[in-house]
Amino acid sequence: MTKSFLSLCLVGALSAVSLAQIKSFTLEEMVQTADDAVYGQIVGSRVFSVDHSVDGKDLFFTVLTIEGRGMSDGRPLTIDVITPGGFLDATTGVFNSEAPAADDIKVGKRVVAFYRWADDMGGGVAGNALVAAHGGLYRTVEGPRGAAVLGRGEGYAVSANLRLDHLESSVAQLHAMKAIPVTPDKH
Amino acid sequence: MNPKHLVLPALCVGGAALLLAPARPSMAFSKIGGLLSPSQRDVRVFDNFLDATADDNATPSTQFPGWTGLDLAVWKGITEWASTIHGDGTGDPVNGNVLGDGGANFDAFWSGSAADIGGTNNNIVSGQTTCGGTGVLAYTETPISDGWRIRFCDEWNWDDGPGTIGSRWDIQGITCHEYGHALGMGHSAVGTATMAPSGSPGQTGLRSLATDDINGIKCVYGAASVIKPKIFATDATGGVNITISGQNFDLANNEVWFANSNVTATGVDPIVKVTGAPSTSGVEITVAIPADASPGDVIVKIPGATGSTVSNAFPTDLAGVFGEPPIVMPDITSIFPTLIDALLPGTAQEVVLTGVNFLLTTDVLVDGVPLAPSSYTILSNNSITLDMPQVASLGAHNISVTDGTNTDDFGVTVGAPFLPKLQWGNGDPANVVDKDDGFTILMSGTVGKNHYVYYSLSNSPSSNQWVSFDIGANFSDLTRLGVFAIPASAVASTFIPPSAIGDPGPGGLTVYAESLEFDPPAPFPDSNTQSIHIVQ
Repeated sequence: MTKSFLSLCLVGALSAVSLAQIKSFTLEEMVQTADDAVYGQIVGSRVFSVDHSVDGKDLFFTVLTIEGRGMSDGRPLTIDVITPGGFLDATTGVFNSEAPAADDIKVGKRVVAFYRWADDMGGGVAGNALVAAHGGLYRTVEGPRGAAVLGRGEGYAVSANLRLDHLESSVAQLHAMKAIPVTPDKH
Repeated sequence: MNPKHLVLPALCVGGAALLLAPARPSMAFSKIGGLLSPSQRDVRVFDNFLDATADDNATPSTQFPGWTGLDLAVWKGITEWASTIHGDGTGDPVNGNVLGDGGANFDAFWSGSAADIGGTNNNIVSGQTTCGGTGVLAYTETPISDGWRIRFCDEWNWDDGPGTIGSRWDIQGITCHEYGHALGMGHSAVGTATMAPSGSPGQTGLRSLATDDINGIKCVYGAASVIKPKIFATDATGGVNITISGQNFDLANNEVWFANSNVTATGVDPIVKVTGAPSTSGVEITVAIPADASPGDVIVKIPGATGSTVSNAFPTDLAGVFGEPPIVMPDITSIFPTLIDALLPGTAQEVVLTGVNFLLTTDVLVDGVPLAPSSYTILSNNSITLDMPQVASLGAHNISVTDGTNTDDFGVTVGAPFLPKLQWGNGDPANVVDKDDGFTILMSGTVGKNHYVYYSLSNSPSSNQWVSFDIGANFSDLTRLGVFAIPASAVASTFIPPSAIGDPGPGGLTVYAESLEFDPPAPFPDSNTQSIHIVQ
C-alpha cells in the first residue's frame, strides 16, 4: 500500500516533464518508445564510423556495453546500446550535440539506459539505439538505501533524483501496460 | 493511527513542492568548449529532405532576397545569432521576432547551396534519412574550431514555414538551436531558451533567442566590439557595382563577401570574395559585383584574426537599395575632460574631442559660436584638440562640430577650478605684450572668494606660513596688483591699460605674476605662475 502510493506519486510528477531537441517525452512515452531499460555498469565502450552513399561519410557511433538487469523484469542482462558521435582517437571523431556527455558514459559508470532496436540509425547502422540519445541515459549513485538515479533537470524524463527501486517499479508498471490491449471506443 | 501513514503523504507533498520550485533565473547556458574561427562563417544547405513541406515555401522574404523554401528557413535560423539586427529585422512572421539578437563578435554568412552532405567540418546543413526513430530530431557534429555539420533526422515531418506549421517541426527554429551548438553552445537549463533541450511539434519559439542564449554567445565570442565593422546599407542600383555604407571599415584593405550563385563542392570555400577593397574614410566601400555573386547578404572583413574583424551580414538583391545609408558627418563620441575648468590658462589645446569623420569638420563651435581656427587642431579623423574659451556661466555648455550642413552637439560641464587659476595676456609663458596695447588679466577660482594678485621681476620663490609663491625673491620683490572677487561665472577679468604700464626699456621687461585665494586657514592656495614680456 505504502509502496504503490509512493510510486504513483513519482509517476505523476514525471509525467509533467518533457524532453528534448530530441522530441518531447514523458516517462510513460519513454517506456512506450523503448523496448526496455537496463540498469547496470558500463563495462565496455568502442567507437566506429561508417561512410554511407546516402547518409554521408564520417558517421561516428559509440557502442556501450552495459552489464546489469532489465528494468521491466529484473532479469540479468548484458546489452550493447548505441549512441551517435564519439572519437576513435584524440583527433578522429565528432562531438555530437545530442549524445550523452563523455563523463556520463565512461567505462565503470553505473547507469540507467532506455534502448530500442533500430534497423537504421543512419548510415545503415542497426542496433539497440539509446532512446532520445542523451535523454535516454541517467547516471546512478549508491546510497545508504540503495542506488539513486540522478535526475537531469527540467526537460528530461527523470528530472529529479529518485531511488532506483522507485523508478524500476514505475518502469515495470508502465512496461506491463504496453501489453494490455486497448478496448475500442464504443462511441 | 499509524504514524507511517502520516509521514509518507508528507514526503510526497514535499517532493511535489520541490518540483514546482522555479528554476534558477540566473545564467544556465553551457559551452561545449571551443569556438569557430573567423574563417568558419559560411553556412550552406544540401537539400536532400524528403518531406514536401520542408521545401515548399515559395514566398520570398524582403530582407532575405533571392532564396525561398528550405534555404530561406535555414538562412533565417542562423541569422538570429547575428551581432545586430539583420536588415530591418523582419523574417519571423509568427512571433514578430526581430532577427539578429546575438550581440556578440559573431556573424554567420549564408553562402548558398552545397553539392553534397559534406564532411563533419564543411559547414553544411542536410537531412539524414533516419536517425533510428528514437527521439532525436536533429544533431550537430562539431570538431568545433574548423567547422561543423548539421543533420536533420528525416523520419520527422519538417516544415520551412515561415507561418504556422501545424504539427510539423520548425526548420527555422531547430536550425537556430543546432547552429548554437555549432557556435560552441551546449544545452541550457532555462526552459525558454533556444538552447533548451526541449521542443514540441508546431513550436516556433526557438526562432527567437532568450537572454540566456545571448549571454551564452557573448561568453563564447565576447560582446560585439565597438571597433567591429558594421554595415548600415547596401546600394546596388544598376546591378554593376555595389556601395556598402557603414563604419569601422579598413581604409585600404577590406574583403567583401557575397553568397554564391553556384552549387558549390563540399570541400571548397563557397564565399565569393572581393579582396583589397579600399574605403572612403572608413565608412563607404564600392566594388564591382562579381559574376558568381548571388542575392543574399554581404559582409565586410577587415584585416585581423578575431571575430571583431567580421562585420554584420547585410542583405542585398544586387539590384536595389537595402537599409538607409547613414548621414556621414562629424560625430563627437566623447570629450576629455568631462568637467572643464572655467579658465585654462594659455593657448595649449587641452580639451580633446574623440569621434568619427572629423576630417569633414569645417568649424568647431562652443555654444553655437564658431571658434577661431587657430584655437583648435584636427589631429585625425577621430581626434580634435581645442583651447577652450571662457564661457559666460558655469554649468552645461555645448561643444559642436559641423561640416557646414550637419552639426553634432556634445554636452560638457564647465566648473570652477579646484585651485586658483591666473592668466596674464594669452597665458602662455613669457607671452609678448606691447605696452601700447595693454593686456588682460583673468582669474578663476571658488565663486565668492577674493584673489590677491601679485607680480614681480623675479621668478625666485617666496614662502612663509601663509603662502608659497614661485616668484618674489623671498618677498624682497613682490608687489600686490589688487584684490579681485570671483564672480558667479568663476572668472574675473581686469584690463591693464597702457597708461598703467611703465617703460620696459629697449630690451623689454619680463614680469612674473601669481595669485592666492583668500580662504582661511592659512596657508592659502596659490595659482599657477604667469609671465609676460612687455615691449615698447
